[in-house]
Amino acid sequence: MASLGEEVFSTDVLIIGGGPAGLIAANKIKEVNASLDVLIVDKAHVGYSGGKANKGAGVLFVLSEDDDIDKFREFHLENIGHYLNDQEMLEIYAGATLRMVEHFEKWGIPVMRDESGKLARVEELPLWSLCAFDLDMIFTLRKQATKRGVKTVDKTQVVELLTKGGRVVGAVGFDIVDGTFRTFKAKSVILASGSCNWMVTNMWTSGRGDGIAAAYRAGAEMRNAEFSNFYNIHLRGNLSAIVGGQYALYNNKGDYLADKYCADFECDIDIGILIGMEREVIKGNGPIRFEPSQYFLKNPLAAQGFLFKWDRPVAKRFWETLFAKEGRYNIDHAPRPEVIPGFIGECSCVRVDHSMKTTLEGLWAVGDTSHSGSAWAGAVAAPPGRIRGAALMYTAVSALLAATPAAEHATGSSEPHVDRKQVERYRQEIYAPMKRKKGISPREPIFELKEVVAPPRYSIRKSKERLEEAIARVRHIGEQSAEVSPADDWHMLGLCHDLKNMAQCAEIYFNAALLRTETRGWHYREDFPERDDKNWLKWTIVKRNDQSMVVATEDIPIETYKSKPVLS
Amino acid sequence: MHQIAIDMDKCTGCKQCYKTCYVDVFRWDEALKRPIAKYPEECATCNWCEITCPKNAIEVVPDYHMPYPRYYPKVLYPNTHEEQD
Repeated sequence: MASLGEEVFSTDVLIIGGGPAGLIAANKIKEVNASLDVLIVDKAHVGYSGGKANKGAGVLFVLSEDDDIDKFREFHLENIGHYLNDQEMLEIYAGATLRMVEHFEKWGIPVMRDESGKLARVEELPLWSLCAFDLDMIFTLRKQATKRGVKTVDKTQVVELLTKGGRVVGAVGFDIVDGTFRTFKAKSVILASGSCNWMVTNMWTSGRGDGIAAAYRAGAEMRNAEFSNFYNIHLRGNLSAIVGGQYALYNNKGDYLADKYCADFECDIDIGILIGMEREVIKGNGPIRFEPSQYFLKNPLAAQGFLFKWDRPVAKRFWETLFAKEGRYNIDHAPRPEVIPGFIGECSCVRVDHSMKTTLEGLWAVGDTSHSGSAWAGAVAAPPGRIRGAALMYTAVSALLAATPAAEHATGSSEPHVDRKQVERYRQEIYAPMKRKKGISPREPIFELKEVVAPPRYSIRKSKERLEEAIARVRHIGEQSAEVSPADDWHMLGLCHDLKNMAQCAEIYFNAALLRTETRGWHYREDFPERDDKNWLKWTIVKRNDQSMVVATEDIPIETYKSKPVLS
Repeated sequence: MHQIAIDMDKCTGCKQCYKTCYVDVFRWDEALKRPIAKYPEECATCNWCEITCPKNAIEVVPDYHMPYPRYYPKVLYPNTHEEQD
């Protein structure tokens, strides 16, 4: 290995992740204080893709002028969050969505409106607006940031956060093309590095939990990690998600599954259909099949409902290209094609307060990194937390909320001093796998990890026995990260670290799930099938203590909130 | 394995595909000024490299036979009608 390059960067605000959350935070910080140095670092190229932001529907959840926040809160608590919400955060988030639309439009990103100029809506979802922007918004955000003097460093995988005296003072990582070691010193650090999806579903593959795991290792608290189990219904033949497909499923006897396993109306897929699909297969009534003619009947999110409804040339090109490929290369051409439980994941558990500050001084976490950790959405796998459009909107609002406090903290801070011994120790650890010229490829244990997180018997139908089994398997896989070899390849070194981070996120997830001995929302325990408000109006907290993973609970301050559940 | 087919005659070396890929499929040959699809195993089949190429020089061909974690393995779900590899 030739001798490595080394670079040191010093900035007022370091943003880890150049997707929409990172770029919105950067743009807002520059609006608040143009004199601050802002630097965004990304594994790919800042503002050219934005992770999954330009690979979805581009829809936005907005509480418009015509919507009632109290009605929305009540609906959410009863149907989605099941009182596990931080109700104050829910109101802050929902209340800020209209302000975010104003920011988008000010920054040159049109948001879809109807002919009267009101924000677009879907008739079947009366309590909020479901509008959208086009999928090139990330490019506009990047151009804005460049104009404002935001600096960027590309193709760099950040591995560890730097801490000194209990404060986060920067980060270290390496160039995934040429291996250059990079140290970033900063007065404020914003983690905008996405969620963990364990590389199971294609479009979501970029979320590898690297920021979440780095924050965990630095001592930050994780909250609501048990809700890292989002699924869609997917076609087996091309692995595509059929959003709303739960209303078009049949078993091999011709029984319509929604009658048994779905509510009459659902704003989005709920866990019941996934529990039901597995039950039917266990009984021998599989495979489960999709009836295309049913798809548009009960489904407020059917494709025409939001993908092609508006004039969005980039989204149109993206979706038409994707549908054409999925059709052409599909390997299941049955009239009623088979569906599978399509695991997405969405571990987004970095705990944040109402201004997106983590439990570590100097560190904020925004976007998919902290969606569940903010607790606004409660007992649901999030993003999107059963509200399509809530993911992108939380990404944006959280970045907006973090910007001013992160900027003020930087303004009020002295030059950050890093601990040189810590930097050197992390440097050794980062490159350690490169010394192993022979060994298993990280791809093998990564696939084994997917076989623990993805199957419904671990992530839908949880039980003490299976969760303990999952934790044991995940720990064993994590230990293998000490044996994998990147075969002298920097990209593969990145995968070695991805393996370690994803195993750590899985351990956090399953430990939180093991702790919650009740069923609530998207957390279904076969051994504790009832909701238990008497004992479980609590959040799970996972944290590192010394080198051990420690779990605890924290009472939800339900008495201080506007709404309380009726205790039976 | 997913395929990323690049027509090197149509390609003008603009680097859009390299910058757009969010999962490091591509490397860049600075001498030839051309992309190399070095890590196709990472490909998410998002088609953005294909969409963003101003010369339509790229075609992503997805392979839906690629290994997927077993959701109902026969050994644990003996009554399933489905065989999974």
